[in-house]
Amino acid sequence: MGVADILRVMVVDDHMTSRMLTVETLQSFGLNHIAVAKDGRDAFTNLVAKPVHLVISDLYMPDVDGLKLLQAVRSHPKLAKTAFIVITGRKDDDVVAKAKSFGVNNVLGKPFTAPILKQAVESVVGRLN
Amino acid sequence: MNQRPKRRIVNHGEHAVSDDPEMTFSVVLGSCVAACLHDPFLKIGGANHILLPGDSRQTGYGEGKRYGAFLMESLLNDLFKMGAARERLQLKLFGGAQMFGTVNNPGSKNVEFALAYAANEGLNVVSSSLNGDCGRRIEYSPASGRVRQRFLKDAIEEKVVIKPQPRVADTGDLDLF
Repeated sequence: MGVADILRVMVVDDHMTSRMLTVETLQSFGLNHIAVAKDGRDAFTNLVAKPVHLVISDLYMPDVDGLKLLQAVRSHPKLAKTAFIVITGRKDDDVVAKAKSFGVNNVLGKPFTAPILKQAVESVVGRLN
Repeated sequence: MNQRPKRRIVNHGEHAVSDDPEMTFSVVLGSCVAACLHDPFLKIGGANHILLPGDSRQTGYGEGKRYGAFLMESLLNDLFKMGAARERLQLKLFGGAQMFGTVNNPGSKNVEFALAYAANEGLNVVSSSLNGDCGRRIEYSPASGRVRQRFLKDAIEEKVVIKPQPRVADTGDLDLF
């Protein structure tokens, strides 16, 4: 049994199509335990109720964005060690520095290809299969 | 003093937003699709230029779909940052022609993608000019939401040139031999 079989992931994105594309790509890697959330608030509520190993979150979202969600996760005792990947359309240095200071594990620029997403996930959780 | 209208060309893979009433976005489309979004309350808008290249080695639109989704998302996010509300947004779609000489009909795949995206994201499509067999030039005013479309028939139609036949001299004489 590989990492892909047991890994629980949450994809957070306010755009349904992007969310769906990320989920489909993760499924193509053999991941089956994938939860979704449409914004940071929705994600945090669901994470507290049912933690995951890895959160893949869009950066720009209305209300609670990716960085606020990352801060909330890192400051929650039950969720603090959750692996966290931020996806952003503008991979500016200051955004990356800010995410790093909040304890992000990886930052992924959009639009990404399936091999790049796989590489980003594996750099955080190890080889999937 | 007369102010010159501002004009910006939106190329493949680009998007642009503006609240300037003088601004016009110009997009030249073949099999590509342009999405023009307008918030009538704030009088702001934006347009993108989606090229989904398609790859026969992959299923569906391959990675191109991801780029189309990215361009739609970038456009929406920039409008949201300016204060636009999703429920007010009016979407106009253009392009997706089946151009002469193209294989696999990327135009119809682009149209299919754009309509599916609009439906998935709950965007209100108020008008569209899609498919067909010739290119289009779109002139879009983001502040008013008005679009002027011109079909580029000359760009793909071969002009048939009829060469004048040499005239036979009419002498009125009948030669017998």
